[in-house]
Amino acid sequence: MNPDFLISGIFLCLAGTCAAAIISMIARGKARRRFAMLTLAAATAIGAATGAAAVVFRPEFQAAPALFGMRIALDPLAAVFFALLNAIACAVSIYAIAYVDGHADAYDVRRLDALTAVFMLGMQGVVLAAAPLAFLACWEIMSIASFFLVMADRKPESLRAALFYLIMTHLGAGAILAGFMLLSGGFMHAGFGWMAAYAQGLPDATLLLAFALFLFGFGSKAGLWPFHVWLPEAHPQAPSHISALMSGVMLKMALYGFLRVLLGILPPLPASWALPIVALGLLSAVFGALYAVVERDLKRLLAYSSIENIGLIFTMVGAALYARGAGLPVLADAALAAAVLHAVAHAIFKSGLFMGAGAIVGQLHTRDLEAMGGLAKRMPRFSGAMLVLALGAAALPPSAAFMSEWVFLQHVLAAVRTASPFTQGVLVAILSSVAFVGGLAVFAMIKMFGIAFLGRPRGAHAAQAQEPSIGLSAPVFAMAGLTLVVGLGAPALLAVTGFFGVTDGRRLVAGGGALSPFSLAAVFAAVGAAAFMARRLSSDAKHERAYHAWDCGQPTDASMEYTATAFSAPARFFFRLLLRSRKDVQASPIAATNPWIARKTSVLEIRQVWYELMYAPIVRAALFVSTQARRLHSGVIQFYIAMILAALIAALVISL
Amino acid sequence: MPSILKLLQYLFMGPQVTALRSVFGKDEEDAVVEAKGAELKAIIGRLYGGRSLRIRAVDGGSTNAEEIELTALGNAYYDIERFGLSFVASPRHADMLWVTGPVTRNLERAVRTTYEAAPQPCLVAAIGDGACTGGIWKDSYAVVGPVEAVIPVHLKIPGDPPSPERILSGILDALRPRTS
Repeated sequence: MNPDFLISGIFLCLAGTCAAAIISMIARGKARRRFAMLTLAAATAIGAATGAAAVVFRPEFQAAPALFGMRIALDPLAAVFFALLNAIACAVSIYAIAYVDGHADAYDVRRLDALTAVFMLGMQGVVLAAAPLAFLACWEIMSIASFFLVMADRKPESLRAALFYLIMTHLGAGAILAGFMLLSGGFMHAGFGWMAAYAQGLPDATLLLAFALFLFGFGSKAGLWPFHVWLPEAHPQAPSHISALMSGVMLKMALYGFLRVLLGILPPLPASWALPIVALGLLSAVFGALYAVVERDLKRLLAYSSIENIGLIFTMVGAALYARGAGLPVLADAALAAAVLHAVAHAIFKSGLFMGAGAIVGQLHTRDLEAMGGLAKRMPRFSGAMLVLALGAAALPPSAAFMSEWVFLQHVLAAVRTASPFTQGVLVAILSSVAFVGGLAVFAMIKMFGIAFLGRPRGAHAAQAQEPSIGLSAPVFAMAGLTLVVGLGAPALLAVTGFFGVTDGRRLVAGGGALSPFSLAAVFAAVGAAAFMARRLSSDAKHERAYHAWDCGQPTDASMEYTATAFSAPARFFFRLLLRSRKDVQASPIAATNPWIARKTSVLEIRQVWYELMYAPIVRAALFVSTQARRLHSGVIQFYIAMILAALIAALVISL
Repeated sequence: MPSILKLLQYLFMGPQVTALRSVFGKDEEDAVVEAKGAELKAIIGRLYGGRSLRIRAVDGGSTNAEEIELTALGNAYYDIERFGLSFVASPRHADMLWVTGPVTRNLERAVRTTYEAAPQPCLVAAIGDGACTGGIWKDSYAVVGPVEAVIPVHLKIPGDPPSPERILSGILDALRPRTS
């Protein structure tokens, strides 16, 4: 394929996104803002198609034009992420039309739309950037746009979350900047290729420092433990389509940056350096999944699930790096393939779930799972789509996440047999932790779907819920469809992206075994059809009579249902050492004569352990230092002049 | 030691704890119950292909007098399970409902849903005066009426409360094939 087509495609995509930002900033009225969002959708659709074409045809970009340090070209890694980012962004743009119209009173619509486009532009730039300076500039556009988007509704809690996010993301950006400085010798205009050559000659200590800085920088953006505390605050506070973009795509930008640095710039690293990545990845996965199990806020639950999935992806990346260093090239390739596939899968199902959550929260006016319930009866089609997405998030077949975990675990299992004892230990730790996380993820998703969609409505709004409008539900349906398509087409997708070690084009291959997603889906379909047929054939329809479930003569109501809190009680009990959840039951007697007749209120507090352990001390120290420093402000002008003089003398002493 | 001797003396030499058979029952009465039971067993065996008749007892607001008689049916003396009648815990398993008491407003729904939840065909027996006519609570504001007012009733066994033997005969009369 002629690369010129792709170059013009990328240009069209960037120009369209810019145009959408400008139009939505100056446009007034519903029709014009609809036009702006459709422009954005068209631009990102072109971008997605271009990215997909670049993945499939792998053209050689000989003379790619450059734009502010961005090379308008896509190498295979960038192409995957460019296609993914734009595909999700396209669905989000369509969704934004109806979603923002429904919340026009809560947001400054024009600013929100313009910032959304700028946010997408920043992410496109991150993928296209071919030099550290351009990369960081686009990274900042992405971060700052998303900062303003988090506080779009200007509520105090949104402001707090946004500021926390801003601090964390800038600490991360600072670390990335420092890392690039180290690797490029301060020459920030140099391309990544030049940096790779330069980094070859750097001493190990510098490389290790740069590696640690990148791990912190990209890890804090991706929500890796213990830098994840901002994520469950910021993602749920943003408007839902922005949550979808942030959780689905922005985290992948951090992954892209990390992969770009690891694979493209840093020289081959010793295996032991990969262990911190694996450890942080596993810890993120475990804590993300645990908190997702006990969380009662729908969007926060999804945010925790994002931490879990990012943890799994980083575990896969770490395992790939470790395997490369430990001389297991097959596992290295497979783990990388699994990481990319899982990133694609997560982007799809998580953005779908967040958009679906937005549609639900818009009708129910609450994010609390305890006020939902019974939605499957009120909105059956939409609930079906959400079920497919939840199955994807639980990594059950035939969703895409299942395929990536299958590839990863099978290769780890195959490698365990032949590896050295220490490597075996690492692999077994990975294996057991990923299995544990898989179980918790299923738990969390069953809770989410079961409590929100099944049973009876627990609130007045839930009882009157309607099937969401087509503008809100179509993107969710598209994401649910994509989850299945990517799951079924996983072998083809991996073959196209060039991971030939794990697929033969039709099946996933690992260590002598093979899995055909289509056969798997066929088995599921056959079992389902057989159960349905058996039910139809064995039942005596003529004499059957439908009547509600036997309730012992007492009408059932929503207060008898399993709640999200009660459902996760076993997890809270078993992991109370980790979660430090606390339950306060207070009884106030109603009748003075009988202490047993009492009104009881129970408050369940799920504490943010990592915030309290690692962040609260920093906050306290900063406050303490600043209150001490305030004492210097005596208000006496002579004292200030003396201070200036002292500073001047100190500066002279140091510089001379 | 003396205390143990005292205990043994009390147990073996003291007044009789268990009454003699002749004191509380007559063989003729036993024979009536046994005869009716045997006939009932034959009929149920024929009707239900060797299986037993499964009964769900529903309290529609009775004074518990009828319940005491129903409990007596299951005790060691009457032991109706040997005649092929058994109480079950769910209307889903029931062939027959035994409804007691005038149906109070609070239990109207319970009676109705129990009847709806039982598989058809389901026999309904109204047991006791309250269930048959409303009894002394007839026309009370708290009462819907006799069981008939809520669900179809196939046989009525009056009495306040009817004795176990009368309940057995009522069931027998209802199940016995009509001889024209």
